[in-house]
Amino acid sequence: MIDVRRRILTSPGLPGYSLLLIAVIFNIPIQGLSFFSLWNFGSIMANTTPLIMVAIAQTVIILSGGVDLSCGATMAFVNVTAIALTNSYNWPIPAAWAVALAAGIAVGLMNGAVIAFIRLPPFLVTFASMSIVSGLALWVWPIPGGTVPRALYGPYNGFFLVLPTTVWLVVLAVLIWYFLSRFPMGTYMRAVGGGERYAYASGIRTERVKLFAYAVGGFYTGIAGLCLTALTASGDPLIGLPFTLKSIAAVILGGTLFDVGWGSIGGSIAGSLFLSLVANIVFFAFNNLVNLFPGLQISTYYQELVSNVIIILGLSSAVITQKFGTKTRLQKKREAG
Amino acid sequence: MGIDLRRVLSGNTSFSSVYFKLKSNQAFMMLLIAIGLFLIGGIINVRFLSLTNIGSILGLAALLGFAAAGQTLVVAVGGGIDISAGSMMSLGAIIAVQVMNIRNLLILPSLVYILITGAIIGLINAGGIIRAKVPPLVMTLAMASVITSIQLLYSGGTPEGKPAPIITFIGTARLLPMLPYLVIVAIITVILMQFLLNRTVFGRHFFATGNNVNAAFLSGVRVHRIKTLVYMFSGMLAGTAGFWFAAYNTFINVNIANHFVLPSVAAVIIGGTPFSGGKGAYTGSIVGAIVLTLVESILIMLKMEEAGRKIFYGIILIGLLAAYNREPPIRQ
Repeated sequence: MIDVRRRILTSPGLPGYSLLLIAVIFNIPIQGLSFFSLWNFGSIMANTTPLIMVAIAQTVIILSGGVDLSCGATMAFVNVTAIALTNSYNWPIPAAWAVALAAGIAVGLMNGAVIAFIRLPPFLVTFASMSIVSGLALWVWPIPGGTVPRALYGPYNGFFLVLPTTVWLVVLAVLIWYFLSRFPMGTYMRAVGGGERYAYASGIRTERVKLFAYAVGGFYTGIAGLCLTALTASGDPLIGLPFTLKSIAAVILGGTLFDVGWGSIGGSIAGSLFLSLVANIVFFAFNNLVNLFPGLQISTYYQELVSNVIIILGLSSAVITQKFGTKTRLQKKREAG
Repeated sequence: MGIDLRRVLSGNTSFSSVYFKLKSNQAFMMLLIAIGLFLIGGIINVRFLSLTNIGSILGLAALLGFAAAGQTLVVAVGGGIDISAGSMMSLGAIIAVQVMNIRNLLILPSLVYILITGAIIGLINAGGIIRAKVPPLVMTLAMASVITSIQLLYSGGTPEGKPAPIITFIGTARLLPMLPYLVIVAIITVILMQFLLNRTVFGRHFFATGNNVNAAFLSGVRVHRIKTLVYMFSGMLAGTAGFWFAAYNTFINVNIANHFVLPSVAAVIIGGTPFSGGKGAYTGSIVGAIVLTLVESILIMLKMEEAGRKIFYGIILIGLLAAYNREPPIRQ
C-alpha cells in the first residue's frame, strides 16, 4: 500500500493527473449526470485526440531537450496533403494518408537534422520551420475545403468494442511509445534531455538521438494531423495554428519539465484532457448562468477569456505540484540513506 | 583556432584588428547585407532604388523596429522571449483608434491608456515567469490568447474609430521623399533606447543580469526587479508600436499586428543579440528589421505569393542563424 502511494507521489505525471481529477470533479455538478454517458465520453475523446497525439509528440521532443513550435503548422500540412491528394489527384485513401504521414515525419527529420547537425537552438529553428511549413500548406491547398468519405470519419466518431474508437487510437499510440522506449534509444533520449554534455561523455551519440526524437515527434504529429482530418472531414491550411500553444501547455500541465528529461506521456495525455475539460466546464457554466437568469446576455468572448485564464492558472499550479513531487523524491533518497 | 588567429592578427597591425572587429560585429555585417540587398533589388528593377521606394522601405522597417524594441530588451536580459508582443501591439492599435477617434486632444490620454495596459500585461507576464517559473515562451504564448480575448471584448469584435489627424499625418506623410516622419520617430526611439541601455543605472544592471544572473544577484543587483521591469517595458513598447501601426495603417482589426511576432524575434536575433542574453543593442535590431523588410519587399517585387514568401522567409532565417548563431561543438 505504501509502495503504491509512493509510486503515485513520485510519478512524473502527478501534476497532470491531479489537475485532471480536479477538472472532472468540477465538471460533474456543472454538466450534470450526462457527463457520465458514453456518448459524452466519446465526443470529448474525439475532439481531444488530435491534441493528445500532438502532445505526445511534444513530450518526446521536450524530453530529449528540444521544443517544437512547428507542430501546429505540420498538422495543417499533413491535413491539406491528405485532402489534396484524395480530392485533386484522386489517389486511393490509404496511399494518400500514408504519404501525408510521411510528410509529417519528413518535417520532423528536417527539424532534427538542422538542430542536431548544424547545432542551432531548437526553439529558433522550429520557429523558422513553422514559417516554411505553413507556407507549404498554403501552397498545397490555399482555400479551406475538400471532403473525406464517410467511411473514414464515421468510425472515428463511432465506437469499437464498447469504447470510443479514439480511445483505442490513444492506447495504440501509447503502446507504440512504450515499445520504442524499451530500446536503449528511449533511455538515451532522457539522458540527452537531462544534460547533453554528460550524455556525450557517457558515449551516447547525441546527434542521432536528437534526430530520432524529432522523427518520432514528426510521426506523432502526422498522426495528430490525420486525426484532425478525420475529425473535421475537410482541409484547411490554417487549422493547426492553435495546437502549438495547446500542445506545449498540455505537456507542462502534465508535469514534464524543460531541460531535465523528466516527464511522462501519461501526464501529457491528462494535460490535454484537462484543457478540453476546462473548455467544457466554461461552456456549461455559462449555459447554466444564462438558464438561471433568462435576461442575462454574456458575450461568447468571455468564455474564451475565462478558459485562457484558467489555463494560465493551471500552468502556474503545475510548478507548485512539481515542487511537491521533487520534495518527496528527495525525502525518499534521504530515507534510503 | 579562430580565436588564436584573431589574437595573433589583432596584435600585428591596426588594419587587421579593425577588420576583425568589424567582422565579429554582427550588426555591421548585417548592414553590409542590407546594402547588398538594396543593390540586388536595384538590379532586378531600377525603380527599387528610387528615393520614394527607399523611403517606404525605411518606413516599414521603422514599424518592425518599434515591434522589435521590447523584444530586444526581453531577449537581451537572458533566455526570455515575448510572444505576446504581437497581440499587445494589436491591442495598442485598437485602444489608439477607439480612444482618439479623430480628436487631436485625446492623443496623450490614448498613449497613457496604452502604456498602463502594456505595463499591467507585462507585470502579469513577469509574475508568471519569475514567481510561478513558467517558461517565458509558454507564459507569453498563453498571454497572447488572453490579450486576443481582451481585444475582442474591448472592441466588441469590430474596432471603430480612426487615429487623430496629427498622428495620421506623422504615420503617412514624409519630410523628404526618402524620409517619412515615422523614420524620424524611429530615430528618436533609437536615441532614447541607447540612452536607457548605455547611460543609466538600469542599463548597467540590465546587462549584468543578462550576462550572469547569479553574479549580478551577488553584486547587489535586484535581479527580479530588473526582469519585471523588462517585461513591463516590453508590454509598453509593444503597445506604443501598436499606436504607430494604427497611425500608419488607420484601418484596424482584431489581431491585425500579430504577424509582427516572428519578424520581431528574427530582427533581434539577426541584429546580433544572442539568445543567451548579456549583450546586444537596439541599433542591431533596427538593422535586422531593415534586412527583413528588404527581403520581404524584394520577394513581393518578384510577385511571389504569400505561400512562397513564407517558405523563403523561413529558409533565409535558418541561413542567417546558421551563419551567426551556431552553438559550439559538444566536444569543446
